Amino acid sequence: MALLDVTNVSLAFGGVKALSEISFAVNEGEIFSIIGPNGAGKTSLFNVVGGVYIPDQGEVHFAGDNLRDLSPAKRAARGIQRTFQNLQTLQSMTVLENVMVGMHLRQSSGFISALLGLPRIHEENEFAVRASMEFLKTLNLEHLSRQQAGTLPYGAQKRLEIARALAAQPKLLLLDEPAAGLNPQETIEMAEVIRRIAKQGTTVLLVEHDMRLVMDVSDRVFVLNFGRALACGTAKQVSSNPEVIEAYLGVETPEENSRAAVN
Amino acid sequence: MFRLKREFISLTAFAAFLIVLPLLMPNAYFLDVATKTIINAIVCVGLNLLLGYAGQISLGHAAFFALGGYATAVLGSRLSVPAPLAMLAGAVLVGVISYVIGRALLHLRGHYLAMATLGFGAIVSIILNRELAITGGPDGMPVGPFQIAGYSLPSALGGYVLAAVGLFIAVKLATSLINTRAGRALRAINDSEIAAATLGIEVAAFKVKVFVISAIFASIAGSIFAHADRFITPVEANFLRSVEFVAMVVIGGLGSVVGAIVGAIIFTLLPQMFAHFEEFRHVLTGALLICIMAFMPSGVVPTLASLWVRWTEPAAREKGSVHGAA
Ligand SMILES: Nc1ncnc2c1ncn2[C@@H]1O[C@H](COP(=O)(O)OP(=O)(O)OP(=O)(O)O)[C@@H](O)[C@H]1O
Ligand SMILES: [Mg+2]
Repeated sequence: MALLDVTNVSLAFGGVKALSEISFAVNEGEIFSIIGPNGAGKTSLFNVVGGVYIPDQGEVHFAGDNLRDLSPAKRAARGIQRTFQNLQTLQSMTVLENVMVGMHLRQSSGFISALLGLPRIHEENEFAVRASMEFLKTLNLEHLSRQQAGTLPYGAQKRLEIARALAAQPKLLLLDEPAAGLNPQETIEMAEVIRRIAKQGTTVLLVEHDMRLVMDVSDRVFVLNFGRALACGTAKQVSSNPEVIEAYLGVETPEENSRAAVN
Repeated sequence: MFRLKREFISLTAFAAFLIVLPLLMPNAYFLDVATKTIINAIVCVGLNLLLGYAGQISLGHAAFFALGGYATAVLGSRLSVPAPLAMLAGAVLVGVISYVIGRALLHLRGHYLAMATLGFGAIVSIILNRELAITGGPDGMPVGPFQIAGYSLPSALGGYVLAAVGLFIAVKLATSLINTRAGRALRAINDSEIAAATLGIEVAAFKVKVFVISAIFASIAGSIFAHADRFITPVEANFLRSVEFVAMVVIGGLGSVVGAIVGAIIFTLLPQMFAHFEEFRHVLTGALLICIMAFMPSGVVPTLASLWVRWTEPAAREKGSVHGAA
């Protein structure tokens, strides 16, 4: 059974049809990429899956359940995590604290025990610090753990968002342009990180403009253009699809890559 | 472990300071000013949790303060309910009211809480002024000393001790909260609501809880004030008092427990220091506060703390270690 099932989803902003009748299913353990030119609707689709936008039409099922009435926080509790194209790190908190917030759902102490400083708080904190440091190591950030997140360079903040999302131990991880702002060497490392995440059992939904990365890691690729589905298949199938080449790959790849690099 | 030890030392030093302070006061007038400052600081430490950590503005904290004071006055003095119970009753009442207000408004974005608490404060003010039979109206009503089992401290010192114990507990609670799951969730909400929600934090529920906690802090402070002053009037519920509380927290520095206390000290002492300038004292106070905000826009304590870090160890800046959580 598919872990994520998107059926016939449409979403419009005023006159702009960001998504038109989109359907696809992502299997457990898969790395599933969504590509398409700027404004194709990729981030909008993430927002629909994450619960930030309610689609005008269509449904999203996760692990068999309809997500329609669930808030972003409730969806997180079901096991969906994401990173943001435009950074949403917790700027005033340290790198370590960012990841500790990622563990929110895995811990349970509330205000009362916090105010009273009960012993379980210290145990919880110690566990959170230890576990968070592991996630920081995974993304090569452990040496920055005490820095304030807002002071990190762009690429490091992108990796921090991944570490934070992983700390929640999600079933499904949505990555919105994780390689944006990374240099070629870092991009190769990012590919390795994404593969490792999938190998450890987290299903990955990837939006990325860097075609080499997409072709490298994806089990399947879904192509969007002006909010419509253009193609879906293995990296090979998609990259040899004439419609896709015309809309995206052939003409736009070099420009897209340079755009992604400065974005 | 290291952090815990440092926290323990700071709290012990703070307790010692509160114990020594009345011994340094030359007369009853200064002791009274110290008591008032400490009572304001209790409100600020609570309000800072809401304003500095959850990023929400309340313009009704004077009303919560007054409700606590009147609960103590009416229940304690009129109905002879034991003082601790009267204080508790006020806290429960304020807790329920703030829960209802917060529950209705805090899932909305924007400054609905500020507007609603402003309206609520006005209503409380009107009721306290009009309900002569219960509250004594604009003239206010007298309050007895804080007694436990019929025993109470001599009056001026009694007020100070009650306030100091209250502030110590408030500081202990607030500092305990900051580096916990709940405290981090609050700070996360302040930095990015969308990120917080995505990480599974129930944003609205957290805001409601912290609003209730901060309102209860104000209520307890109000009860302490009633005992310390041995009198209470509806002026305590005044809108301007609510604005003052917000100003204290902002001046001292948002998101810093020490800042909340320093803000209360500055704001309570300045008008006293300028007292012999008569009506000009408000102008002077205002001018000085404007200067503080112009030169220290993030508040006194965070600004001084970052200056201190820059001065002592230039390399520490990149560690970004100043959190003002002490
Ligand atoms: N909140 C919004 N309000 C109005 N229009 C929006 C909003 N969000 C997205 N859009 C529009 O919907 C369309 C799809 O945008 P979206 O951000 O999903 O594209 P994208 O594929 O992620 O693009 P990019 O590669 O630039 O990130 C665009 O035309 C965009 O202008
Ligand atoms: Mg996008």
